[in-house]
Parts: sequence; structure tokens; C-alpha cells
Amino acid sequence: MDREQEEAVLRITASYVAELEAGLHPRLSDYLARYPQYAEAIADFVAYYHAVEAELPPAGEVSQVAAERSESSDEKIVYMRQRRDAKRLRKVAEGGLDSPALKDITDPGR
Amino acid sequence: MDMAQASVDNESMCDAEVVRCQTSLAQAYDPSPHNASSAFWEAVECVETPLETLVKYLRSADKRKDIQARTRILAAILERTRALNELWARKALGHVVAPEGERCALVDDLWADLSERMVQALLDPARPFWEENFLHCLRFERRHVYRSFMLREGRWSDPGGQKRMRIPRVMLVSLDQRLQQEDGSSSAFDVEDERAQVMLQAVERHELLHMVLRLPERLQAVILLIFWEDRTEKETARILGISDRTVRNRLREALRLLRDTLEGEKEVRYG
Repeated sequence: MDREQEEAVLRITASYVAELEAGLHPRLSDYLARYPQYAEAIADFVAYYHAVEAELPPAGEVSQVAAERSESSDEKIVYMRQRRDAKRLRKVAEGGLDSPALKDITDPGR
Repeated sequence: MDMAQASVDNESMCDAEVVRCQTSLAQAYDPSPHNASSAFWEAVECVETPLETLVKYLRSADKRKDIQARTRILAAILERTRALNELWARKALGHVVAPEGERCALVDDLWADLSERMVQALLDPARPFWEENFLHCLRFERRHVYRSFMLREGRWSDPGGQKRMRIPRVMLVSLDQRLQQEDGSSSAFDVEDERAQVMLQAVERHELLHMVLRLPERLQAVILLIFWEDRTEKETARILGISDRTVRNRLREALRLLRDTLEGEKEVRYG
């Protein structure tokens, strides 16, 4: 699919999502029938959207939660430490037991 | 209202929405403070500045080869979308059962992959829709990143990588049952792979969608129309503009692929 076609699919699927968000219950079959040349890409996106994206809260709500979480420093510290440790563990896995990252993880004073 | 009228109305609605979006963006963009002023950077870092406007600022800075401004605007965009993208990464990998440390690393990697793809897309002026509907472009990018990630990690193609996936209980129970129709008959489809049909029809809607994602694109529409929208093979053929025979062939191929995946998971998990 070239860039022009991808832009077309973006606009079509944006319209599908906008209808969904407006509570209009769009039917996949209507979109496939209307845009048969993009049927595969539309079906692919719609399956993905309902499987993964549809359950996500609206972006505004997530920003609000993130802002609140950043104020809750204890939770943020725990979360950041988990992420940092995950990254270091990967480095250990790549570098073996001699990896400096191992010392960071096992250092009790960190 | 007939289909043609509905289509016209929908397209009019979309056109109106696009014009409204473009107008509001133009209003937000045109009076932007002069670059490099403190007011400009306040606008960049203000959460109320539309992300679409930030993309315009970013591309403008990139065109001027203003590296410092480009980097700062990019950082602002990534920071604004960080919480949402992290939540997405956790959600997208929610059905992958893995030890906590491994899951954390996977979520981190998926998020990092997305950030990389976002930077490429944001800096590409040949992708104008980012300046009109940022969140939808982000969804689209996430879809590509998710698929690439699952394939690369062997979660979709490597049988060993699929062994920890949860199999819905209702599906396991149904494996040894025949499909019962309303009229008492035991099969409604003229497809050889009856067992796979039974498995798919017993799968919860949400699980079905996750399975469909693993199929090649050309097979997805047929499965979605028949199992998700409850269309008949004839209706499916009409909607897609293909023959009944092609529908049956695609259905058979998709069912074979899904059956192999499901039975592989069942064998690995339960012996």
C-alpha cells in the first residue's frame, strides 16, 4: 500500500471511529461495501481497534490520571524503579554475569 | 434511509468534521507566538495546545533545520502521549501471560518501538493526516507496531511463543461438542473444517478479534463478516464483491490457520 492509499484508509477508518464514538454503531459491512478497494486494510484496522484500542479510556482522561499519578510520588518511584530494573535485567541478559548492570540491580543501597 | 443516502450523509458529516477540524487548527496555528520566544515554548508545553498544532510546529522546525526546536517539540509530543502509550502497551500485551519481570520488559520494548515509529512518522511531511487527526494516526501506528512486535517476539508465529496464551474455558469445553443450530441440525456451513467452525463460534467476541489479528489481511474480512457480523456466505460474497467460491476458499484457509493455532496452544498447554 503506497502513502496515498494509506492516507485514504486513515481517513476512512477515522470516520468509522468517529461514528463509533458518536454512538452511531457503524457496520463494518457498510464500510467494506463502500470502499471495496480498501476492504482488507479496513477489516484489519477494525479488528485491531475493537480488540485493543476500544477499551482504552479517552486520551484526556489518561492525561488527567498521569498528572495525578506524577503527584503521587511513591507510586511513581515504584513504577520507575520497575521500569529501570526491567531495562537493567535485559542488559544483564545481554552482557552476562560480568555486566555492570548486575551490580546496579543487586546493590542494596540503591 | 437507503444505503446511498446514508453514505452521502456520512460523507457530508465527515467533510464537515474535516473542515471544522482544519479551521480550528488554522486558528490555533496562525496566531502562534514567534518561534524561540518564551511565549512560543509556553504554547508548545501547554497541554491545551492541540497535538495536531504541535506536529505543524515540529515539521516547520524540521524544515528550517532548527534542531534544537525540533528536539524540544518532539520531546513535548512524546511526553504528552507517554501515559496513553504506556497504557496502550500494557493493554495490548494484557492477554500475553508472562512472569512480571518479562511482562515489564515487553511493555517497555513495545512502548520504545512505538516511540521510534512515532518520531519517524511525525517528521515525515508526506503524512499530512497527523496534522488533522493526531490520535487516529497514533492508533494506526500502534496497530503496525503491535503486529511487528508480536511477530518479532514470536508470540504469533512461533508455537513456542504462544504456549502461555490464555485459552477461553468456554472454547475448551466446546471442542468436543457439535454445533447445535436453532432447528436442531448440527451444522450450518458447507465447509469441511467443521471442528474449527465450532471452536470459533464458541470463542468470546473479544478473543475472536485477537485471533483474527493473526490472520493474513486478505482472510480477515471474511471471518469478521461471518463470525462477528453474523453474515451468511452469500452476503459476505456480495459485500466484498467476490464469488461464493472465493468466500468458501478464504473461510477454509482461515479456519485451518486458526485451528492449527488453537490446537497447538491446547496441546502445548494441556498435553
